[in-house]
Amino acid sequence: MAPDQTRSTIPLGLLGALILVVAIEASRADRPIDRQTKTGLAWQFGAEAAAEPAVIGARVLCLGDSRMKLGVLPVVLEDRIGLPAYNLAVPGAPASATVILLEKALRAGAKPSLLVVNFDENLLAVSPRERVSEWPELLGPGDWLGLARRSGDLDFVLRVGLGMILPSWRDREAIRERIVAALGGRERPILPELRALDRNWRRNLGAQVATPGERVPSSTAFIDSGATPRSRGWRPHPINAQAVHRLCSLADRLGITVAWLLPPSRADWTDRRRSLGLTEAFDAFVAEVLDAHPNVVVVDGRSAGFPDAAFRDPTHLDGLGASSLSESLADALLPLLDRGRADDDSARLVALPAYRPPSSRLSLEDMATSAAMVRTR
Amino acid sequence: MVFNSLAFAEFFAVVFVLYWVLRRRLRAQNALLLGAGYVFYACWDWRFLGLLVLSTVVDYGCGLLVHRVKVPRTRRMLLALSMIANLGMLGFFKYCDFFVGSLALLLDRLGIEASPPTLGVLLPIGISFYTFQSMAYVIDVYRREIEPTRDFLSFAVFVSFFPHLVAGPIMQPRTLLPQVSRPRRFDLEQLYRGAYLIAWGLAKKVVIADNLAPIVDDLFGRWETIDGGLALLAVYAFAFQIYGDFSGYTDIARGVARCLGFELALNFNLPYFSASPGEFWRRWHISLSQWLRDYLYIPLGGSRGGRAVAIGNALLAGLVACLGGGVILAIGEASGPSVEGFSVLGIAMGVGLLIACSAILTIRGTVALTCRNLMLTMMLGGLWHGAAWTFVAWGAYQGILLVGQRLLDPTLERLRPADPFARNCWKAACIVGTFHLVCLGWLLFRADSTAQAAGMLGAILSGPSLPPATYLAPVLACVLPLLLVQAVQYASGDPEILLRAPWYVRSVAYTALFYGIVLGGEFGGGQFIYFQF
Repeated sequence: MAPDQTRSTIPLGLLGALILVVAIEASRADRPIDRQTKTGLAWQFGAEAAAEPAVIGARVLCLGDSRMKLGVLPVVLEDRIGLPAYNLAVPGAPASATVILLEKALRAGAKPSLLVVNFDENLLAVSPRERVSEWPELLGPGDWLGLARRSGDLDFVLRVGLGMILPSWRDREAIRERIVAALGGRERPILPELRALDRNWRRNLGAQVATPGERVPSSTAFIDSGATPRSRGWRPHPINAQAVHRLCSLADRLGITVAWLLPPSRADWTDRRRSLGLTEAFDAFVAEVLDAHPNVVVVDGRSAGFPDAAFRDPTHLDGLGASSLSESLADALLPLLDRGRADDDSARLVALPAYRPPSSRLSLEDMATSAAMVRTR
Repeated sequence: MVFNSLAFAEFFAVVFVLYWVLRRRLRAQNALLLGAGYVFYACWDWRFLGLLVLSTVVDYGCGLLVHRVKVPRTRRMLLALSMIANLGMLGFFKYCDFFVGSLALLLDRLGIEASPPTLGVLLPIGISFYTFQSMAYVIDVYRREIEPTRDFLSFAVFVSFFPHLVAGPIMQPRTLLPQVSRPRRFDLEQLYRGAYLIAWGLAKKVVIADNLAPIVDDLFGRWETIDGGLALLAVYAFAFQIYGDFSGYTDIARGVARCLGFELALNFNLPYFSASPGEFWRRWHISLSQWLRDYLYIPLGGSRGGRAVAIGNALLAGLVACLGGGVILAIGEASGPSVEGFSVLGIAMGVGLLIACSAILTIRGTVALTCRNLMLTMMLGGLWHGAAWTFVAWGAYQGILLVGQRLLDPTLERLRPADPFARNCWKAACIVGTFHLVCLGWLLFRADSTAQAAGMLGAILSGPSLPPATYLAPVLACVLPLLLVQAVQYASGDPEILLRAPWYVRSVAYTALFYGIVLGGEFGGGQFIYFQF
């Protein structure tokens, strides 16, 4: 059917719709917690925290993924080292995201003396594409261009770009949940947990303190799963390997020592990784990085003999386990802070001492407490 | 590379820019379209690209020769060559294993030990569409309805034009070929209308079809445990799923083509607002209905006598015999070997089948021939949809509806009220009735077996209850907005009425459409149902 001849040649309808969409999307830029998902919230928290005074003033900055987030407590580090610390780790963050977070913090004025990092072998092995929904939380336009240049994956960067310019697209799952919940006269079921997480991270200088004794029921299935760890023929994804080297080089240029923490995992998990040959392949990559960057020190906690009771799942420590690890780590970091760089090669491979129960009686707010506090508010 | 993927958006963006950069060079534009078509097809499975090229080369050559040769017998042989090549490919890849499997099952039921070899080949995507279109070109040249094109590039683009390559619409050569051969002008208005169609098609696919798909799969998957209300809801949901899926694909195809300066045929025209089965087939998959009419129904002889009648009779009798045999076997399978009654029922049905086939073979006379041709066309149309007897049964059911309508039309015409209000009520009742007849067909179409179709129908007829809100609410949320929009389109008689609305109405509607897709769409890479055909 022919279009209406009397209509303007300017597509006014389309222009009007564009203006409406821009107005709606702009109104969504300042986003409340109820438009978030769990992982999205963690990435957003990291991106925002990178420019906050607590991070800018931190002398010890922790970066990495969930094993860092749940394993290293800045409050404990501060207590034992006597320097301000902050945990900027983001669950599920690949190495390329970790570098971007560091760059953000440095741009905001952070001047750390020491970086404590971890790079989980599973996250190192997979493409940054795996986190396509979360990347928009982290990136500014400049970061996005950098990611585009480094990844060379047009499809991936377009997807990320779409999430950046369209907050509704980025938050669609949360918005859908919210609509369904609102139709039932409820709030989103995940909302209390999101509030508790947000509070817990703020109270613990970015770290997440898992409730002591908490166990994730799926841990056995997790360890037996054929999908993880990606063991046979393990090697880091090129973009992630490049990011690890970039982070170390950047730190080196700024005179920052990098302590690469190899966190402990549950004994059955450790054995399985070893039997699959994963440990050997991963260690080869660690050695390669260590050779290439004189400012890197490896702090190995894998043989520290943490008991099963210290873990909430095969790879993540609960609150008590994290306190213990943080104390051991702080003791291992002290010489590095005193001397700056390690004097010789042997000092660049530090094994954490055997596990001992946490000695400090610091007041840490764990997740159960945070959940109770947000409920009563 | 499905239309509802970012990969396609990227592919189309590149093609679009290059295409309009070359706007003053027609051959370069066509070369780009050909390359894009082959890349698009190769993204599915590059190994089958050879079939597309083969079909193109054979029909291009046959078209030229059929036009040049004057000897009728040679012309017929060239036509036959084209048909054998196209139908041979179709038969080999789509139907070979099906017929061999059916034969093996029949022999097994007769107690004969046989294991005929099956090929186990994959079905090349879109083969049913491009072979029909390519074959139609040679038939049209044979009938001297069109001049053959001498430009191989134009013909290759006609066959492999990517917007409609894998799921239609099946374009008539006289409509598409001239568009390929003449220069295209960049027109902002056309681009705007194309974008509108793309957005509307995408909404139908990702919001309606893909949200209904898991509900349909769930309910059809556990059909034995659901009650009549849920069974009815499953059928309704499937009716809108398949409509959203296929018409959504077509809208996107037409929109993409428009953006490139082409106009593809309207394939769906508010089919669920049809007041009779005949009208439904003039509104549903219009390009296939037209193809079947032009290249099957009319050549079968219509009401004329002669050899065509005998061939048509034999074909229909064969199909009915196969379908009837299949039904008897299915009933036997469902009843189990221990049921003695089955042998009596089976013999009775077999005798009935023989009588029916004999009657078909003697069909003569205008009305009988028309009805026979309708049945034959619809049964073959059903078989075109898929290599399974449920599809043939679905086609037979559609044929019965069309024959029934033809026979009942004079009576219905007498019953039609004269008063305008009563006439509107009558029409509304006809629309509702036709929709339910169509839904019954969809039950056959979607069911994995005749036992499932019968079981679900039995549950529905036993008295449907109101389905639980967890199922009803999402179905209504998908279907009601669509019906509302289509009611406006139907009442105005204009499927693109929105394009003629005031700008502020369009702005709000486009924004709603945009957020409908962004927030309501499923982007899990769901395939289009009709790709399997």
